[in-house]
Parts: sequence; C-alpha cells; structure tokens
Amino acid sequence: MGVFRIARAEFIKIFKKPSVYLMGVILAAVLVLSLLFFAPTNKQNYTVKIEGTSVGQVYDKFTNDENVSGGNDIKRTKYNAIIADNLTKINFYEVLNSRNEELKKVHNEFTIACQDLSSAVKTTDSEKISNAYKKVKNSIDSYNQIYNNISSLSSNCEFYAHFTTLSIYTKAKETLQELKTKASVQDAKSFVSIITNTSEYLDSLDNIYKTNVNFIQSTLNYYADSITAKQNEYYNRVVNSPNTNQTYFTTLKNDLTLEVETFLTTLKSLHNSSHSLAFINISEYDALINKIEEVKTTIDSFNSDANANVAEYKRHENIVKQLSILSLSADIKSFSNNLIPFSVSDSTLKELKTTLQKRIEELKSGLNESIEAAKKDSASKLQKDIDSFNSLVSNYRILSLNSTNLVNNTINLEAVGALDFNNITNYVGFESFNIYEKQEELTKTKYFIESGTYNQNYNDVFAFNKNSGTKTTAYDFMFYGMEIATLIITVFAIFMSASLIASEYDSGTIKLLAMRPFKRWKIISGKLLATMIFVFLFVLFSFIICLVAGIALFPFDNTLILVTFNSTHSFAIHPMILMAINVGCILLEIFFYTVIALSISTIFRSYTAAISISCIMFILALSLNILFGGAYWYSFIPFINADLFKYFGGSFLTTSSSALNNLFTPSLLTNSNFFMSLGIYGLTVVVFLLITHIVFKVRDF
Amino acid sequence: MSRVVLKLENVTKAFEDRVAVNNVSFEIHEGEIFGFLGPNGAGKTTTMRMICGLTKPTHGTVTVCGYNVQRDLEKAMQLTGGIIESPLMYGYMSGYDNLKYYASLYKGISKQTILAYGKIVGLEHRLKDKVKHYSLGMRQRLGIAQALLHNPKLLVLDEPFSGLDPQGVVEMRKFLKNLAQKYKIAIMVSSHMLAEMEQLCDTLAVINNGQLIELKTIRQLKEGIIGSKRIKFKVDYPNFAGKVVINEFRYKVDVAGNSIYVSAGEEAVPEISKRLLDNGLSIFGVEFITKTLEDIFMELIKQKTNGRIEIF
Repeated sequence: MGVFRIARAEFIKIFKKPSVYLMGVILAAVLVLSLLFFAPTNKQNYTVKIEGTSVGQVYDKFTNDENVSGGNDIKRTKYNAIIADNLTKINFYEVLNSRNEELKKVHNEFTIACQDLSSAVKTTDSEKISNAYKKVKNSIDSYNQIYNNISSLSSNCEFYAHFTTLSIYTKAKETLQELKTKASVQDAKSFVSIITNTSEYLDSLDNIYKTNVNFIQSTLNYYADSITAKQNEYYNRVVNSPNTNQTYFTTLKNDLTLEVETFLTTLKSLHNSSHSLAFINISEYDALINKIEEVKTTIDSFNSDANANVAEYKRHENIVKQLSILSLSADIKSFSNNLIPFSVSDSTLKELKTTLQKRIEELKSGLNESIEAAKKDSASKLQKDIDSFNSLVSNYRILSLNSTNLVNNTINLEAVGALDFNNITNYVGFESFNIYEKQEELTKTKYFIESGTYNQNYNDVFAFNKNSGTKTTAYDFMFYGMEIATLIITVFAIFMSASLIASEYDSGTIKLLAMRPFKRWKIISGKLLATMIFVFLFVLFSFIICLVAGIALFPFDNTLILVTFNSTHSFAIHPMILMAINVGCILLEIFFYTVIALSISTIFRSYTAAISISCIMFILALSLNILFGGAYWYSFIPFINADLFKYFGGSFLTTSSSALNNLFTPSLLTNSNFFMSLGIYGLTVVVFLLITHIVFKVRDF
Repeated sequence: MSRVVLKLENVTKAFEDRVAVNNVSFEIHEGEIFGFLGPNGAGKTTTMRMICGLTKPTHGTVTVCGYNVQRDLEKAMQLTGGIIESPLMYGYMSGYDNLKYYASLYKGISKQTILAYGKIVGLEHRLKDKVKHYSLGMRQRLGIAQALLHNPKLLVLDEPFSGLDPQGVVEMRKFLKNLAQKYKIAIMVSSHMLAEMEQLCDTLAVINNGQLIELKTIRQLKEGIIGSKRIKFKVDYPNFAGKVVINEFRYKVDVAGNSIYVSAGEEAVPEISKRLLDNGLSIFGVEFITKTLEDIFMELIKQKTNGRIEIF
C-alpha cells in the first residue's frame, strides 16, 4: 500500500516539474522529425505474379525464358535445377558418409576372397579356383563401383575433379584394371602374387578414406610430397652435379613450376568448393596462398633476370637455395593438419531428404496437374484460373528457394558444432555466419515447408528502417518511431529517476521524505514505480503519435506476421500483438536503465553524477552494439540483454546492417537465447535493486 | 500525570570517529514544550534525527507513544511530524502543491485540511506562489504546516526561529504555545535563541559534547543555580563598601565600576544598606539582578567543560 501511496505522491510531483513538459515537446518534435527521415528499404518479394491474358500465355511464360515480365525470373527449369542441386547436395554428403563403410566392407570381402583363392590354388581343384576367382572379380567390381561413385561426385565438387587426376587415384584404378586382365589369364600363381601386393596397396588406400578431412589431407600431403620430390631433385642436381646439361636444370625448374601451379589450382578449388569438405581457416589459407605466390615469384625471377650478367648455373643455384629456405611443403603439411572435418550425420541427411522429397513430390504432382489443366484450358481467360496457376508457380518458386535455405542451414548448423564457438567466422565460407540468425532462418523455412502450405502470405517481423511487407505499412512506421522514441524516453527516464532520488539529496528534502511513516524500501520502490508510470505514459504517448501518423500516411495492413521466437519456434501473429510485445520489451528495456540510474543516484547522492554516469552507460551500451556485436563475451554484458525483442526476430542481420540500424536494433546474440538473456536481465535488475535498497536502508539522513 | 509522548532511553549514537550522542535519556509529555540547547556539534540535530527515524541509535531506544522508532517506524512516524535542519521544500512547486504532496503521503487528508493549516501558519495568501519565491520565514512556516498535516502527537522542530523576523518569532512562539496547550502536542524545539527558549519552553535540556548536562524546568533551572540572585549597590566608594560587606556578612561580593554586586536574596537589602550607611557611604541605587538563561547556560557549559567554552 505504502509503495502505491508514495508512487502516487511522486507522480503528482513529476508533473509539477516544468522539464516534464519540455520532455513531452522534445519527444513529439523528434517523432515528427523521424517521420520526415523515414525512408524504409524494401522487403524482398518471394511471390511470383506472371502477367498474362490467358492461362496459356501465363504457362508459356512460366515454362520458357522469353517474354518474362518484371524482375522475377520465372523460368521453370531454373527452379527444377535449384531443387535438384539441393537434393544432390544431400546426396553428396550421404555418399561421403557411406563411402567409408562400403570401402571397409568391400575390402574385407576382397581380403577373404584373396585368401580363399590362395588356398584354392594349392588344392589345384579347378572348380574351387574358378569360384574363388569369381569372388575376387566381384570384389574388384565393387571397388570400381565405389571409385566411380567418387568420380560422379566430381561433377558437383571441383576439388574431387582435381582428385581424379591424381595418380593416387589413377594408380588404384590401374591396379584394379591390371588385376582384372590377369584374372582372365588362367595363370593362378602369378595372379596370387599380384593380389597379395595389391591387397597391401589397397589397405593403405582405404586408410585414407576414414574421413573427408583425411582424404583432403592425404591429397594435400601428396602434393606436398610431390613438390618436395621435385624440389629436391632440382636442388640435388644443381648443387651436387653442377656439370649436368643446363637445359636439364631448366626442365626440372619447369616441372616444379607446373607442380606448384597444379597445387595452387587444387587449393583454390578446395577453397571455392560449392560443398564444404573441411573448415579452412581464412588467415592460414591466405598465408599459404602468399607463400605459393612467393615461391612462384622466386622461380619466375630466373626468367626476369635472364639477361643478367650472371652464369646460368649460378642463377639456378640461387633459386634452389631460396626455395629450400621457403620450405613450401612444410607449410602445406601444417595447413593440411589444421583442417577441421566438416561432417554431417547420416540421420540428419536422411531426415532432410525425406522432408524435402515429400514436399517436392506433393508440389510437383500438383504443379503437373495444373500444367496439364493449363494445357487443356490454355484458352481460359478467367482471372480465377490464372490466379490459381500463378499461386502454384509461386509456391514452386518459394519451395525451391526454401529448399536451398533448408539444406544449407541444416548442414552448416550441424557441421559448425565441430568448431570452437569463438572462431566460426575465421573459416572460409563462414565469414558472416551467425548461428542464431541461421537457426532463425531454418526454423522459419521449416515452418513453411512442414506446414506444406508454402504460404508466404505473411509479413516479416518489424525491423528498423525496413518494410515488413511488400508495401510500407503503418506498423513499419510505428516500429521505426517507437525505436527512436525508446532512445529518448530512456534518457528521460534516467533523468527522472536520478532526479527523484539524487535531487532530493541535493536539496535536502530527502529528510522530510524519510521521516514519513514508510519503510525505506517502500520509498525507493514507490519512486521507481512512479518513474515507470511516467515512462509508460511517455511510451503510450509516442505509441499514439506513431499509430495516428502511421495510419494517416501508410496503409494499415493487418496481414499476419511470421515470428520466430528464440530462433526455435515459428508462429504467425497479428501485427498489433507483435507491436504490443515490442512495447512490453521497450518498457522492460527502459526499466533496466531506470533501475541502474536509480541505483547510481542512491549510491552517489548527486544528481549530476547520477545522470552523467547513467547516460555514459547508456551511450556505451549503444556503441557496444556497433563495436563488439558478435564477440563471445558480448552476450554476457548486461546492457546487451536489456532489449528482449531481438528474440522475436527484431534483431538486425549481421550481414546487412548500417551503423544507424546497429544503433537502434540490438545485434544477434549468437551464443545466447531468450532465457539466458532474461536471466542476465533479471539478475542485473535484482542485483541493482538490492544494492539500492541496502544502501538506502543503512544510510543516515 | 500526563501521557509520555517521547521517551529516550540510554540513547547513544557513535560515528566512526566520535560519539555524537552519549547515553541520553529523557521523556517528553503531551502538551509539553521541550527545549533542547547546546553549542554547535553538541548532538542536538543527531538526537532529533534519531527521533525522526533518519538515523539509527547505536545503543538505546527511542519510543514515540510506546512505538519503538526502529521496530515500528511506520507507526511511530505516523505520530511524528517535524523539520530537521532547514525546512527544504520543492522550489518549483507552489506552497499548496508542496503541502498537497506531503498530504498525499497520508491517508485521508482533505483539501480543506491543507488550506486550514496554510491559514494557521499564516500563509493563506501566498499558497499559490512558488516556494522558490518564499522568504526563509515563510518556508519555516510552510515547514511547520507540513509537519502538522497528519495530526502528529510529537512535533520535532530543529531551529524553528532561524530566519524569522522579531515579529515572526513572537508569532511563532504564540503559535507553538497554543499548539501545545490546545492540541496537547508534545513539541521538541532546538534553538540557539536562548531568550526565546526561555520564554517558550516548559523544560530545558542542555547538551554538550553529546552528553545531557542539565534537564530541568525553567524555574528549577533558574533557582537551582547558586547565586542566581544578586543585588547591585551603586555607591561612592565601591572598594570600601565591598570590604564592609565582606567583613560584616558572609555573602560573596564582586566589585565592578562604581557598584558592588552582592550574591544575596532581597531579605538582605535592609541589613546591608543599614551597615553601608552606618559606615558613612552613600547609596545611589539598589538594583536586583536576575540571571538570564544565557548566563546560566554559559555557566553550565563552563562548569562541565572545566572553563573551556567553545565558540557558539
């Protein structure tokens, strides 16, 4: 009771202050200014609307590339290709995963078959030998099958394409081919000796395939060894046999250049591979590329100073000495050892495939029916028919785009689990990878795909300076205005709560207040409550201004908004409800700063100190957003957790944000979630309140 | 015996470096005006702050109408009103708004009550003005008005006369006396204005260095001091007259200028004047001198501090 009585009294007092009216005027003025500067960016429109006077015309436009109107690419084959690409990607990782198991199995079969053949040869029983032969041949065929699978991957993965040219692979193929040829000759004894050797060879080859990284590492190491061999030969020749024909040196030099060039191409293809095979550290990669360039320059220097007045032999000697100092091979090996496996579990891939295929089948059959209907009814000029065809086309397009999203995000999110959280952005292809953002995207995509409606007829969550729908709505302006108002009201709240305590100390009136029949905690709580009522009125005031201005100037579009809460739950809600959630979050944020300002003013007992410290903290918190967004420790800073609206999708995406957006919108907290933020928020508020109460309780007036 | 409103029992307040109030005990009854005297830093304001719950005693208890100020702060403070140090109000609000603010902290104080108290303290014509334009005296009055709004049983006033003009002082005195008599409010007043205290208070407590030196009614205090009455004889040969009186009587005599001061009651006048005249001295005037509170106060402080008087 006492708290409310004090709050009421304080509240009366607040509105006697002339500064409060000044604050109101400032707020109104800023909101008017914000309206003048409101220039939202457009939301991307995913729906396809093909213009046509008849169904046939629309169908033609959809199927063929010609006569495409508008900015949307609506060629049917393109969407088919996107979906096919995504399925291939899943397949790619599946093959990668299955390859090891298959190899192991085949290898065991092969070993047993070879042993059987060896013993069969000893018995000289022709039927047994013949059976054993067949088994060995089957195993060899299985081997070939697996290698062919790898070859088929090469069309999807540039790195594999390079791998196929490697002798390591070629040699395996040759050996198998040789085995097959020999098997046709009935010379069992020599065959047995061949397979014994081959068996060992294949053994070592299988070890390479344990993981993708081992495979890549062995490939890179193969290059490293090969470069070392070429370099050593060049070096030894130049240093130890200076009397060799000079042209031979040049040949060796050119061989080395070729080898380095090939390696560079391979490395680049690994870097640019459309399907990730390993996490490559950006700086290590750059360092290696630089080293290769250096090696190339060193070798090329021979040509550039060809006219130099130095003996050709001397120049060769210089180069080999410099090359041995550069030690490229060692760098390649250390680079290859630092690669981190990029692996996706079979179960994830299987689930992904099932989800995607089910929807694709459904939609495809629907589309095919429509296409058939459209073909039959191509003369129909009914808008209804055109629209229904358009909506199917649109759904198909959306599914193709969403499938990319689904596949990439699912695979990447699982794979980054292997990385140290702090370093994700240090890896090639993950430069701007934000786990929270990707999870949010994935949840949203899943919502679309799993609901099976492909209904994109939702607006986006409000974002600062960005449209939620295809047109700027009243809500977009409301959000924009409220964000700016929040900033100003927070400063006002800091002033207010500082003045409610510290100025009472400054003027000494705290004595008259403290001798009232109220316990100390009631006095503090009452003042806090009064400030919050004041804040609430100001927020309400801005809300009404923004609402009226928004409705007056923009369409009042009440399309449902698809909200992804805490990156894990998607649901569609009315924009007004989301706006109410936003206002709630704004109040919580201002409450946070109010409590801090109250605490500081209680501790320091000075109005000036309270205001300056609180305002500096507030400004610091805003700049933290710009300066350190994304750092690991960032999400543990209490200020960052003050705005909880980011967990309703109200955060900016790290990739496309201006400094202005950063100022008004909280950055994503990659290593946090709603409940952790709420916990940090609650803990901070409780700690500050406790400090305030204790300090105020034990203080003498 | 009237009811005890305020009771201090062995109250001690120690700060880190000094003891501000040392083992002070006293009672104030309803309708009593209790004066609290002492030099600066004696512990007057600290004691009053403890009574108002603004600071906690290190030892001892303060009770207002039976409610312990520490344990039952809300009940005790419901019965207490006051001004500690100068009456600081919110300058940006009018006098009326200030009163309304304090009134809103209590249950059921009507607008009429606020206006009535405004009138009682004589501010009825200035209530609409902003407090920052008030004189110090007007602020004092407004301070008292806010202290009375909730009908307290105990009124604690720290330096209520400071800043008042002589007429204001007289009005304030009448006002406080009236409050005590009519409403049976116990009033505790601290002041530097000893003359005013003498006229206003029923009981006086003198505090110095945190210790209660003297606690008596004004009459007791005046009578209690030895030699509080003196007779001044203006004579032609004061030194000789002094000797005569010392030789003939056992009274204490001081000689100053052309007068002698004899520490004796009025019953001694005929004897002494007869003896002086007998010795051929001429008496130009006889005058009774009563010690003022100030004299007593100075003496008390002097006694307790072994002659060392701090400036105040």
